[in-house]
Amino acid sequence: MTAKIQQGLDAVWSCFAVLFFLGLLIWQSAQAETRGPIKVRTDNGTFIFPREFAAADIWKTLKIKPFETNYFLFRLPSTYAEKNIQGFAAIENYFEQHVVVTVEVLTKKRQVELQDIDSSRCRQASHDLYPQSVPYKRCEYRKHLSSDGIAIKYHLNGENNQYYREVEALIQKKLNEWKVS
Amino acid sequence: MPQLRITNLYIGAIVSLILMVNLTACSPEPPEQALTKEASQSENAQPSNVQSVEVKAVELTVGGKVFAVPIEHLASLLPAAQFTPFSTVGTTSFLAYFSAAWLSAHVDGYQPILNKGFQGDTVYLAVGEQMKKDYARLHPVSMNLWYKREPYGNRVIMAEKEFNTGFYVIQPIPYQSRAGYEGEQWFLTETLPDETKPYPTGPRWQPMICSRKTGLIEGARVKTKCAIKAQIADDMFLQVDLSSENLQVRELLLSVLGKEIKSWVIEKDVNGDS
Repeated sequence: MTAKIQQGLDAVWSCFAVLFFLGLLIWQSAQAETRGPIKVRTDNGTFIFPREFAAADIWKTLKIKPFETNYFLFRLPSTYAEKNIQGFAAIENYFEQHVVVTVEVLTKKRQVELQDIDSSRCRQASHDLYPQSVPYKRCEYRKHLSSDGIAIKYHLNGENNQYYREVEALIQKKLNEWKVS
Repeated sequence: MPQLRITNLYIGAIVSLILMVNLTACSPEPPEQALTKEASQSENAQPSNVQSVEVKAVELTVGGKVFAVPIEHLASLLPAAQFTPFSTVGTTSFLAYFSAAWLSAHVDGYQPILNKGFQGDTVYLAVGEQMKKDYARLHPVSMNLWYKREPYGNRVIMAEKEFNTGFYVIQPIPYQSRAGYEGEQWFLTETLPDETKPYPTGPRWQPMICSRKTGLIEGARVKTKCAIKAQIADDMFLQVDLSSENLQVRELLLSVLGKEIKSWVIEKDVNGDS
């Protein structure tokens, strides 16, 4: 009887050991990509930027390995923009005003399409946060940074639209800092 | 008895080791390695210049057409695809991936991040004569909605178009929930259904199906997605999910996707002769 109990306990113990190691391995693999800066290889060189500028702080961002691509996203965190641009509001209408930036390294084909682009387009929108709906003025800016061979696109909301040139300059500054080759 | 315990520990360690090896094998690979695997494993996939590091596209034969799919659009390279047993390439269809950055760069007004989630997605592409026949068939759900037949006998049409999307909303009553999806489903349409009139077929009346669900990883953030379908060529059809805010730019998005996907088709005999 005692032997059977002991056998049962041993079985439970080994199952626990397997589950523990399995959990540990899964946890480690989930954490493996979360450290260090984000590296993007493009046709026009490599960009390396700190995690705090990742476009969205979610699992999906962290798990995607650096693809060789001419398209990537990053964001200027709202507090970072507020600190670096006088007048920029980090929070408006109860929402954090992160600036999401789309970067495209232009190929010859796309260069033809986006050459010298410097546009802005505004519309009335509302936040897609069911069941809340907060109206705001949302503008989209596109700019060809010819010296770098790239085009950028970003959105600003409400009062922050008046600082779009400052935001553009900050984006260009960060991209220049992050380009390593 | 202590010996038995030690043996069990050894078994545990061995099993753990096997699991670790499996996990390592399942982890996402760098594009170059995965590319070679894609080309060699799929019967339909024929590698183009696989020996070169500069490989930018993989040839897929689908529905009698040959597509040179740029590697950044291969859904099989997505981390999630590494863990699922389902192939992203079939004989008449395949999945292509378009990142939020790519879509944002090509489509004016497209928002790449909404509700802290990336708005990139896989596009389901169906190709070939059989698909053409399948897509020509009438859609039973749409017909039932139009004629107010069961299970949509109590459907409710919102009086005004939705501000964000510019569509009429048709709400099934009672609210529909699918198992595993916590959210309700509803339909969006440009024109109102009218059960007293014949079902329109030219063009066919087909509302978009939308659903709301809670993100698993993002801690209960609600996500809204609507499935839109389009014919991009005589025998090529695509389906993609869009969040409601990006529905405003759906026409431009479909045009951009259609143009891009059609540019992948290469004039080549399906047997491999150029």
